[in-house]
Amino acid sequence: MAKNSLKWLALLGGVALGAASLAVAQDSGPLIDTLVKKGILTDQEGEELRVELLKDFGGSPAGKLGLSSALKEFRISGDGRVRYENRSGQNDLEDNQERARWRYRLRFGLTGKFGDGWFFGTRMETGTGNRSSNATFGDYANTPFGKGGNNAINVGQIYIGRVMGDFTITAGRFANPLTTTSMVWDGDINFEGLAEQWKHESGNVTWMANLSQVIYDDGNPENSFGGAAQNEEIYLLANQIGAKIKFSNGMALTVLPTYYAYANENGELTGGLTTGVAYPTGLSIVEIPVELAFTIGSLPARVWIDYAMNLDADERADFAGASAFDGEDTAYQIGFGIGQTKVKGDWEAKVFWQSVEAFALDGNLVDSDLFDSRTNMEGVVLQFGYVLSDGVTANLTYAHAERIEDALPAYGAGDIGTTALEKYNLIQADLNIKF
Amino acid sequence: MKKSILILTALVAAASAQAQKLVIKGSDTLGAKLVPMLSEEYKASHPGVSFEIAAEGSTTGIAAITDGTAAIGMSSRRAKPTEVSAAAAKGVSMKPIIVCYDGMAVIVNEKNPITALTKRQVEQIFTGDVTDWSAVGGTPGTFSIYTRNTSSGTYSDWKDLAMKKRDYAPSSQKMAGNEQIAAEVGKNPNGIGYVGVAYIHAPGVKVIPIEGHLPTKDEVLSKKYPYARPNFYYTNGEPTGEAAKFIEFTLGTEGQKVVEKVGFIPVK
Repeated sequence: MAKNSLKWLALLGGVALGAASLAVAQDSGPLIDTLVKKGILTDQEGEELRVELLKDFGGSPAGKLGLSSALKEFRISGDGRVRYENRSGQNDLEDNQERARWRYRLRFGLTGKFGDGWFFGTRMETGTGNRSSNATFGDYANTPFGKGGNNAINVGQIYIGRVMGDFTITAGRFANPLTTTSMVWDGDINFEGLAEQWKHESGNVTWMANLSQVIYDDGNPENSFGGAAQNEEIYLLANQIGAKIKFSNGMALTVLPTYYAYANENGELTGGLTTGVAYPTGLSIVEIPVELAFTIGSLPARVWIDYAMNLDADERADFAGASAFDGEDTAYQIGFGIGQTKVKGDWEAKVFWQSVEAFALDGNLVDSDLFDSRTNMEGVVLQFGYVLSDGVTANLTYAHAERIEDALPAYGAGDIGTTALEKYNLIQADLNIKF
Repeated sequence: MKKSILILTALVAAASAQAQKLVIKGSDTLGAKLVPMLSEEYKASHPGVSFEIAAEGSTTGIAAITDGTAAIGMSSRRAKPTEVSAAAAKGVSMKPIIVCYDGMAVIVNEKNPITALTKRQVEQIFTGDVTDWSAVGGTPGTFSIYTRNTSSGTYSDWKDLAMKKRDYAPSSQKMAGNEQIAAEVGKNPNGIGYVGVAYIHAPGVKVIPIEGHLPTKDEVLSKKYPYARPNFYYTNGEPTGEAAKFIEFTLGTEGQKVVEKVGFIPVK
């Protein structure tokens, strides 16, 4: 009698399991196995229960989602952001331009794994620019509550790759694989091309190499009829190698020297250094990002410096018609951060100083917000983040920068409409969700 | 005239009784020996019944129930969630019936000096983590791994039970059935494979204990042997007609004697 009661209890439990949490139905095998082993269910009853739970699951909304049996793992993720931003600039006549706007961003993607280490990823995102996935409220060519433009969904990432032991190879359009900072790379930029990564742990040292061969601009056509102009792809080869060393006191030092080389750098691009997209002429950059991580009390903290020098700055200065300023070849960012933003109640604060001389970096790639996509600017950035609830974070950013060399423009083309930018201020308040 | 119609009707009835054919598809593990023998025994007492048996892998057996092309689907593995939901989408209610038990035995060539393996070693061998017999205490020599093909229930059950759902070693060779695996291992001193207990007496092979357990009746029924599993018939809902009678026969005393005779482990 007792055994029969237990059996029914188990069966009811199984049904309740299926009804209350249908997603669990496919994972109920171990529970049924245990009930069979304990003699509460017979093998035959166990098998019938398994099938019944699967049928129930198949009838649920989640069970109707059909996925390829080739997939070993599948994930849906993304983020959304609502932002208030105010950026202002002062020119050399002490006149000011200000731009305030409300913005939003949506990014969502599907990632998955197959057998033998193969994986893929996709990410759809708002925005049409390479350095922004924001859309601005009301910015629809005089159409209230319109659609289109930056509001449209575009393919941000699509990549296929394979993990083979310590090696990972990725092809397609994918997130920047380099360890770097916003000084050199805007975080919204996705690479298009190939990346090979190697990571190997040996004792307290993790050796790393990140190699990438990306197409900076497509040449079309490469070969033309008759005497028409020939075109070539511009390639960017960005390669870094280094290590993360963990110390016994919990500190960790990461150093990853990087070299950027451009091939066919004159390609099809047509702009000078003050235009939106400039030739990557005269760029041969060495970057050395260094980070020391440690703890203060129970909080994670870090100091970092990212130093970069353009070895071909003289050529770039010539290209800009400013040969006398070929020494403007250095950039650095030095900062301190404390805290983390993982779970509800977490917070993080960061402060850094950044100085980017006129010909030090590729102005097509530097962060578009903090110093308005410019070089020849230096200043301070303060950032604070607080996790309101798991997956919901509030962020504040303030940046102030000033022109370094007054005899040269603030190269690049940002939202403040002058290259004679003397002073620049940015305030951003963000509400983010991540799923 | 009335007499002619009566005779014709009787002839048609007799012909349809004569044409009673039971279509059974699926697992090679069950369909190579056991079910043909059961069908012969059954026919002896049911002379009007004929059988069509196709043993091309468990996947084909479950698909045949979903498609309605067989009355009984043989399977050496459980139906997968996708198969159950695909069947449900077509209005088919997959019903599993355990007809016997099996222990998937690890076999090596009889000349191989290896006398025991652990579950971890078996996983390492079949996934390719190790490639030489010396890595598991044997005489140096590269493993020749023999597995079933991908439509086989044994192929996927082995991944689940012995390989932590990892992929087979790229060098593994896929065989059509248990007999082929046993034959290859019997010829190859570096061979290793897995077969159902009904195939462990093939010439030139020996069974390796796994952490001290062999696929005997007691060890399988007590679930001490790590690679034990039930074997199934699948039907669309509760079986009816001749299929129900044949299943009843399989699970009855006579049928289970055949199960034991073939080398499988009976359900009771």
